[in-house]
Amino acid sequence: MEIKPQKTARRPMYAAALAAAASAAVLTGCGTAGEVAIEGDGPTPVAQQITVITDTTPDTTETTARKTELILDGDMVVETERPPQVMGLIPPVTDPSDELQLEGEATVCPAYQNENESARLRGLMDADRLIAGFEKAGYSLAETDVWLNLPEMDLQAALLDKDANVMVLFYDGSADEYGESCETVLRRSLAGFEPAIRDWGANAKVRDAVGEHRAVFVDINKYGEMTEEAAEKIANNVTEMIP
Amino acid sequence: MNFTLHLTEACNMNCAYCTREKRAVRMSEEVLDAACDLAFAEGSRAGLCFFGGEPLLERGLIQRAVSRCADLSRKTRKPVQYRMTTNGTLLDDEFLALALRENIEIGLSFDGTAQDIARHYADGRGTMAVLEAKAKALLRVQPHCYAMMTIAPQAAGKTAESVKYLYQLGFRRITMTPAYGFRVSWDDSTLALLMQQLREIAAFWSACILQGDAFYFSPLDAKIRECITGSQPAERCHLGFRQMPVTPDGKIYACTQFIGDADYCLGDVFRGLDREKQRELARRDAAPDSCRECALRPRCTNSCGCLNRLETGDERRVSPMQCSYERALIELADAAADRLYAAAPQRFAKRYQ
Repeated sequence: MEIKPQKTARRPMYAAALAAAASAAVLTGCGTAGEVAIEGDGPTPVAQQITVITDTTPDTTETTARKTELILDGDMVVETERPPQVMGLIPPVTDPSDELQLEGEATVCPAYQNENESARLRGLMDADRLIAGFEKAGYSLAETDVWLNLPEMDLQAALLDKDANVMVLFYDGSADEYGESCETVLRRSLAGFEPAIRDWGANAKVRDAVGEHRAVFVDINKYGEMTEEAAEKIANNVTEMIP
Repeated sequence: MNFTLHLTEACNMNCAYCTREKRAVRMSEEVLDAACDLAFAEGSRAGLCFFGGEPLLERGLIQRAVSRCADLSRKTRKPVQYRMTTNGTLLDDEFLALALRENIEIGLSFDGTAQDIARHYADGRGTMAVLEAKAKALLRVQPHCYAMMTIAPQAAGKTAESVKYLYQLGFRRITMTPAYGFRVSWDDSTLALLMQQLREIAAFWSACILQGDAFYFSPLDAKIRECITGSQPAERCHLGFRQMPVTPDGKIYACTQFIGDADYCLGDVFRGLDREKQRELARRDAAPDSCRECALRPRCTNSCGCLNRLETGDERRVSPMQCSYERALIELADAAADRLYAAAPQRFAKRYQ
């Protein structure tokens, strides 16, 4: 037994074949029913790197209520097959992240079985670049600024009494943990908060008992990799609203 | 928020590969209540995995948690999910009724016909005779439940037989991992034996799928799916994020492998999580230096800090066993998938799309 890094890796026939089949489906127009429409600023080079195409038509015959799968400790469980349906016992679970992903699409981690958890993790890994982008735009994300937890879409509850000027949440707009896309949920949640829908997500003013905050919602699907340019653009958009 | 609750450090078994120290230490009701409260305090849902030691030694705590969470769920209008990993020896009709009523999904640690090779009671007696009846009772209540196999080197030659036995018993979701850690010692011959067994399992697994059976076997299915989706098991390590262990004294750690290490303590159930420490963990560069240039890195578990720690004592260092096993498994899974795809492309596509 030895540690032996491999110089090359074969692409298996099955993976290539399924990828080709998926591309063909897109070219023929299948799979575009859930395309996310982006309002606001025109496309930027960053936004153009990724075309967000989803086919997330909810299957109303099955529950989608348990996407934040708790795992059994002692093993890492990746569910692939639907469990057998047993009347009156456990509802079948569907996982949108189990779907084949198009090449070039921003990757979420199916093993999390919760795209927003993965999105948050990815976002936090990119946080340093976002902070740098804000600094370049003349604003420091101070320690009191809050990095929001998961898709806490009840904004007033999530932000209530937080002593912060700017709050940031990374999310996956195409995830449908709620039976509809997070993009839809977010827009509904933002109604009444003067939201500005951006090509990287959205930002809004939120008022609570403490005062006025700027909430920043960054869709990991829309920037792909957080480049310096993307971070600066986000920062510029948001700092316009910072007094 | 998801927590793994270590209800007790005691266990009625002493498995040959288990690295956990057994002590008569149990979680207090006060800690349990605070853990339940914290699980509901953030996020859109709550999840509790009952764990130990052996969690069924503390079934009173499980009942208390379920009762408290029912109240919290009603008040917060957040759903709650329960799971439990158990050695199964203490399962009885009363608990299975609770599991059915409260939807506690049970994962049964069961090594199949290899059970008595490594999984003994604390006094050395084998557990196979007891467990078969318990497994059948569990399957009647939860037909979809997981059988979770851990294969020690001395049991490698029985792996295929065990998988077929579990399948015939009724399990359709079987996870399997080699035993890792300081209590086992793999070498070239035992690893070769394990891979030969996995080839036999792959043929059995293919035959099941071709006859339309929804048989899930984690080593093969995970590697195939990850190759298709492009997802990286490297991202799978949820260290400090997805699900955190709570120890009997109420401390919250990044992962069960890090319990007791102050550097990986993320707070406690009374004061909550240290978010800054969580962020530090998220930012860490998890890839071991030895794996950076490896073409298989995206498909390998090399950056699972918990596994690395168990094997080498270092979060960022893989072991020769892990590297050898992962390389062989990827090759084997791809070959099995290619054959399956060639034999039944539509069935294959349906399974993985």
